[in-house]
Amino acid sequence: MLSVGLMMLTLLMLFTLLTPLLVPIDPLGISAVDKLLPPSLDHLLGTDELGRDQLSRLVVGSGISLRIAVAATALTAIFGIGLGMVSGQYPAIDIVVSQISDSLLIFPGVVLAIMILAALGPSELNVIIAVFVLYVPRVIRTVRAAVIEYRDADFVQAARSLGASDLRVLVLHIFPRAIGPTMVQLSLGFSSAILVEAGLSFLGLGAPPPAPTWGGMISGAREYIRTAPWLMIAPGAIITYAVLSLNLIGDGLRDMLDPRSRAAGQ
Amino acid sequence: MTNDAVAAQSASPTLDVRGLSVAFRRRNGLVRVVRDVDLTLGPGEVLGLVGESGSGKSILARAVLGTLPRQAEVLGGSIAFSGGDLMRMPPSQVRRLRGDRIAIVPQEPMTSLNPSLRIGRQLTEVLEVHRPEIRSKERSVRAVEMLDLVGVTYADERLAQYPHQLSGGLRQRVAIAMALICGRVELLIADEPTTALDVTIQAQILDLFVRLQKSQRMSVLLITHDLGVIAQTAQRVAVMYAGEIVEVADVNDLFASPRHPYTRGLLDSLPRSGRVARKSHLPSIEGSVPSPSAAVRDGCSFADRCAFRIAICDQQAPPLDSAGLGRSVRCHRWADLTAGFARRDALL
Repeated sequence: MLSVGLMMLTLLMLFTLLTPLLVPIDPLGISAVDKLLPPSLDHLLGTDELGRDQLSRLVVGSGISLRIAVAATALTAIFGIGLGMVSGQYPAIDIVVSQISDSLLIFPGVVLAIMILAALGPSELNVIIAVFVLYVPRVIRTVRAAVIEYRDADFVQAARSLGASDLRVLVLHIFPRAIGPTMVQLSLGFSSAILVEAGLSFLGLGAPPPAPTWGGMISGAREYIRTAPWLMIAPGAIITYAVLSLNLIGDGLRDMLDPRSRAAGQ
Repeated sequence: MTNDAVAAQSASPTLDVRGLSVAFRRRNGLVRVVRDVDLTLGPGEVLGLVGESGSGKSILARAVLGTLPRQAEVLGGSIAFSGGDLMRMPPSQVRRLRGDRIAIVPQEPMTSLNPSLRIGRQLTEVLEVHRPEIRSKERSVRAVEMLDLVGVTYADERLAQYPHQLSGGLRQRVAIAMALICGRVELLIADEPTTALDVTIQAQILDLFVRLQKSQRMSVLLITHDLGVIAQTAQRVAVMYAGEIVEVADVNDLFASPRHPYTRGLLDSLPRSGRVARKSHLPSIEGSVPSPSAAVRDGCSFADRCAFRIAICDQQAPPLDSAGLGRSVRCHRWADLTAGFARRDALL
């Protein structure tokens, strides 16, 4: 499962990086004559209502989507794991961290993201911030729960009684128990980041036009769904593809990081 | 008392606990679980610490190690280890002693190894903490040697295995190897090391303890509720009841003539060959250990369950009396009871 997911994700990245080398890419070139053309050899995925090449826009859009998702997930991982471990170990810090992260969790996800973007204004960086704020509480809670579950476990007690320091116990003995669920959360967060980014740009809150985004392309294609359905099918398919590959990776990681299933595979 | 034990006591002790009291913080105040405990352990001596579940044995051990649970608190007393007072040392210094010169073999082999880490990683980590000067290749070599020493077969293959791939007995051997891998252990605390194991494995592990104790010349504090284990391995015994030491004696003396009614009760409730014909029921001690959160009573903590209770037992807590060479008893009536027991035993 993991290898299938990784293969699919690699293909998506290759598509994003290599397509510009194979075909001329011009996501912004407007041509009134070429508008709403069906797929052909000149325009492999057709053209949109302004005559822009759909393939070019899709490729540049994947770049934006993946960049946002990677940045947001990296931030979520760093702060989520760090804050989760600290708040699991130290009750005084936990009070503050948990109150804040819990109060973020009470908002329905997309509503919170819309609020953040409405306050900060639509831009690529702000989408990253919104997705980060949306997903970091889940990672904090996952890591914190694992730390609390294991901080008084016999094996932690044993490590401590053989001279391991608090930091060593936290990082080398407790955290490995949290890696599995954290990885699953992060890969789900990654795929949700792509969905949220698409949703936000669909609503016009993502990277502002004329930057081509997957969500923005679907949004623009709504009016032409009867006359030019390819405009909607291509970005819809690539979003599905990206999310599927990341969910496969998440499931695969969970299986791999569970020592029991790993031993059974040996 | 054997000559060995006398020699061990006259030399400066490895561990000397004086007046140690430990309490748990609860919403309604402090609950004292270890009360005014004195304990001395000479170099190369094996001291058995017996008591029922909840008598404070493990908390005493964790106080010595400086790894009390977060809700526990030391109220007073001193813990001298090889001369230095562990209570006055900064925690980081005590931490450096743990696993190096003081080590513990935990109670539950099934849960005391980290399920996410390979055996080799867990063994070499102890060296990584205490012997950073040893290169990582040599650490693995030491780990294999140590596993060989504690009788783990296929030692080099075990390094790559996870705890759940090993049986309980093997895991306990690994835990022993972890405790001793630094090679400088002076005090080994074994907290019910065989309780979770079946009888045949238990015998093997005890043999291993005795062998290692001799070859490494360690002092061992052997915590158990099993008097059979004590008889097999310990030289001296301390009996704990409700957080207090109620009797300390040489192991042979204790089994031959227990002075405290509680010790007496413990020994009577052991099945022995030859006694079956006389009695159809195994005697037991009525009642149960008083809950540590119950109001502290004035008198003897064992009074409620004691068949020999008199008025003074309810009024005044008995002191730990010296009762012969190397023996002490916490009972108002030990002297007249001993005489009585001797007569009864003669009749039996």
